Amino acid sequence: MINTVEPMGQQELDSIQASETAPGLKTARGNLPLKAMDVDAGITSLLAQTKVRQTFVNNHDDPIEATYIFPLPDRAAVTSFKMKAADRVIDGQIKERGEARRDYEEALRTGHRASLAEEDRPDVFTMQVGNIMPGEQVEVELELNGPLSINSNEATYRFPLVVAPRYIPGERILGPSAGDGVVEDTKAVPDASRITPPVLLPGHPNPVALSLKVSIDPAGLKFQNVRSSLHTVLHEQGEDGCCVLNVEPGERLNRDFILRFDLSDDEIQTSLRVSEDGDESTFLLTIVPPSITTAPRPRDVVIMLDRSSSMSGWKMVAARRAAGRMIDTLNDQDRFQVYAFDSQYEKPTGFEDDFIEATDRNRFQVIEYLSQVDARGGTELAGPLLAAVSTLTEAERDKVLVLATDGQVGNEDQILRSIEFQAKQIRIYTLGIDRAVNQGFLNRLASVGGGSFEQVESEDRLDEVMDSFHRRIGTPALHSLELVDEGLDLLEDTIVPRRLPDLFEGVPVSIMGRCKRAGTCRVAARTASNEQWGVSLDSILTETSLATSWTRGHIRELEDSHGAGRYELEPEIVRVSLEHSVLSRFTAYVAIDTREIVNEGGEVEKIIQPVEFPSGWESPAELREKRYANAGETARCCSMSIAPMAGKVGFAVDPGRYKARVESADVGRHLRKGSSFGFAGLDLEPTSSAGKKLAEVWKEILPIEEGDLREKLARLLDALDDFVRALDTQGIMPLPNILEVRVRMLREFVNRTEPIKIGQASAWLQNISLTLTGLLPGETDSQPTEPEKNWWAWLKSIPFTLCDFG
Amino acid sequence: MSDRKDSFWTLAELEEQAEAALSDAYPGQQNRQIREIPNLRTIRYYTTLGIIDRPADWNGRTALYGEKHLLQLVAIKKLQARGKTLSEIQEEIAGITTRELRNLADIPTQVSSTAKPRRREFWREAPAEVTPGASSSPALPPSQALRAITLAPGVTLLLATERTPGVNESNDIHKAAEPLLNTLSNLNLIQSNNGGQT
Repeated sequence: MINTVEPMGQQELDSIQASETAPGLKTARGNLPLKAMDVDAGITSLLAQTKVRQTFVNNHDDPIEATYIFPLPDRAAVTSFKMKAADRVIDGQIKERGEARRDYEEALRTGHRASLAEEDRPDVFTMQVGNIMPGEQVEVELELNGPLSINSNEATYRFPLVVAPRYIPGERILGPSAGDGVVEDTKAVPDASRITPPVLLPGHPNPVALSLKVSIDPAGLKFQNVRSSLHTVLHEQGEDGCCVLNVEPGERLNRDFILRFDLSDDEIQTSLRVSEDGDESTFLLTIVPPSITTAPRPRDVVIMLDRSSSMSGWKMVAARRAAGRMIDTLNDQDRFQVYAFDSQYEKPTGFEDDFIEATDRNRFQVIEYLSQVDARGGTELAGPLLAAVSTLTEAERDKVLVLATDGQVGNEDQILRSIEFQAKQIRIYTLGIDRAVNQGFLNRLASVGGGSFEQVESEDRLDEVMDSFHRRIGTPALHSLELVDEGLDLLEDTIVPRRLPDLFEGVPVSIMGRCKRAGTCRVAARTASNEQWGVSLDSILTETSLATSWTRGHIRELEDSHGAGRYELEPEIVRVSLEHSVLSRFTAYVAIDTREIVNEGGEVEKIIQPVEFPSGWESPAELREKRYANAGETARCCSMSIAPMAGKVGFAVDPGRYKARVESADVGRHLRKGSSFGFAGLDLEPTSSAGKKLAEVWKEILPIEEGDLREKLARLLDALDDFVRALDTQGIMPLPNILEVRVRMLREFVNRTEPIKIGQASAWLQNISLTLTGLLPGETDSQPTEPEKNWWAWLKSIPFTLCDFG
Repeated sequence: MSDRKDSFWTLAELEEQAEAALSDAYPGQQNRQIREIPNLRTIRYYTTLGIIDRPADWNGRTALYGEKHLLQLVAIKKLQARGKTLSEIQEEIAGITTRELRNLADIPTQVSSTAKPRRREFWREAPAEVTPGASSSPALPPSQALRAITLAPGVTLLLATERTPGVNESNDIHKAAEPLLNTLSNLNLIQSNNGGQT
């Protein structure tokens, strides 16, 4: 029986229209191996049990091995694996990862059908299915379970459906690579080639039939207002009064499935539940913080704003709004700072040095600054994050860091390792702004930082989140939480999370761990005014086993510690993983159909499944900019000659040679600072007159000598202003943007009262001339076009590029 | 062309091979679109789309390509010449077997589908330490006066010396630099003076 149909949003209507008009619906067979994905989730008392079935077929004339890189919820434990081929069901076995891989490879070589499931990130997995014979179909099925995320009285079930393109920093590793993905392994991301599947261009016929069903068991759960955020769902009344939701057929795997519902107030209460499993027991401690009115403590708040190119479009708008609203909730006794980062980072103009007092005027100015922060460049998060946490040291203040980002980076371990120590001294919150967010990473970061993660998948959601977010970055109701064992016999090093969080009004927390028996536990903490607070809880025995949820949480903590440098933990991770049959980074599930040799000799064609371009991302052209900004790869190799000219200071800049070139079509919107650009249809005239003036001034102010430095720099500033404006009217903004920033900084420098030294002035000239050189087109493998040649010739005519001798 | 099983091509050489293969197939083919030399960035973009494999190997920073890449590039160019969009090309090429690719490219090669070696136990490898990132805050670059001698387009010799070389000295330097320039040209790091490019 169908009760209601949720109306489609504009986004969905657009996507349907797009797919209807898409060309190429003719391919009857399709080359890609993944044909169907079935997700079946059952929610019982705030735990979700999910079955994921992937169907692979071979439409080719040769045996194949299919590889599929896919996401799963990061808190979920993968507890079982099956392969179904030729009407046989083979149960997978969990083994140490190296051993499982050897078994799999051996099975392939000897001609058996086999499959292998590995974890590459807490939420990114690789499935390999080998020796699929021509015309054959093989199904694999994973079972997972994990807790819903709870915020206030809202429960969220999220099932991710695509691994979005990620920024991969670092230098390439030589030698064989780790996987079949499209990006080379780097020293920062040694397994980059395992988490970077190829990406389908929009317009590709939907290659995978998706069915996604969620049933919510009303027994033991009072809920209302069930809603799906990004998918149209059909509500049905299932057996036993279950609420059943089905995603409409035909959806693409290009965004997270997000289901939310409201819990009644009495659903979550402070309690201690214990489930007995064999010799040991697992406990789940839920604490609903009491309402305690406290005087707010002064805070130091750092807001980190991701402005990398993958943030283009609504995500950038949402990130700016989030930052703005947070700044608005600060008051006079607080201080704050903003780091806007892409390949580099910057702080609000005029506030570069220290924390900003959160006065009305300063807040206003910084929000003004935010309005011009647009998306560009790569996601170099590690450097600025380390710089930011290093400033949060003031003992007398609450230290808070908020990261607004899509989290699309591949170097999660590197980042977490670099800030692990400092993160313990502060609180870190993450706002994941994306429809295919890197939740695994942002949850880890928030957990290490004792804060929390929120996904913002739409602008509407942003409003909902921000309405309560200020409370979280406020003064905690309770801090210094402690568990005092009164008969549970807690087992050492089993508490999840390791870092017990601070408690905020309206934000319940869950803590899990292992113990010997049911008993009593006292929770002790301190209020904001440092008074003792405590509550004793008697355990309630529960039928639902908590062991699997705890195991996954525990493994996650161990994996994080390992990632942070505690390499001796590997045997322990393998032990726990094998003992509880829960997949980890150091184990893998392997299934082999030993009863039949189907492919004598074991020769297969390796085919990797390309994945969808994430919904809500601007355009795949961004990929070119983002993913290959690898240091040393496309980095411009601009050879520069510096020589004395006309006396004391002068600069000669050889245009240099750099191979990378943005396609002509990218002029304008996709221009990046530091990248060269194409010149189709560029009108040089208006730029030329401003450029000529700049060239003249440049000539006139040289040589720079003691005495008139300020006046000369001021003249140069005027000429630069006109030049930037002329470029602006040409619509080639991002390059002038960096020029503009430099010019603004030069102005501040000139406006200072202290005397200018000749070294400083010449350094500024060099700085500006280097930036101007960034406007030069790169020499490419192909012949330069006419406009390119003209532009080049003209730029070279400016004196800073003149002195090219030899 | 198929006797170079053990050696790889640079991008420019790969392109020459593709051009040669195409001119065999279509005498007098003048289509601008397929003659256009793809640059490294375009090739990488094709890689993200799953229509050209990652380079077979690297020589320092130079990517090296093999027969499979040649097949892929020729197939792409042929489809482009038929007026297909990139999305349509992806639909035809992504996920096909080597045999199908060979049929599509329709040029003689000896490419086989031997599996590439994989790095073992990558999951145990630790990432490199973070180097503090660059801020765009006003950090002024240090300035140092250097003497510069342009040896060839794109090659400049920088000398940390106070003295400017004279004309004769400059000639001597140019002469001494010739072997280096030849090496650079052979490595395809600079454009050769005697017109090696198409």
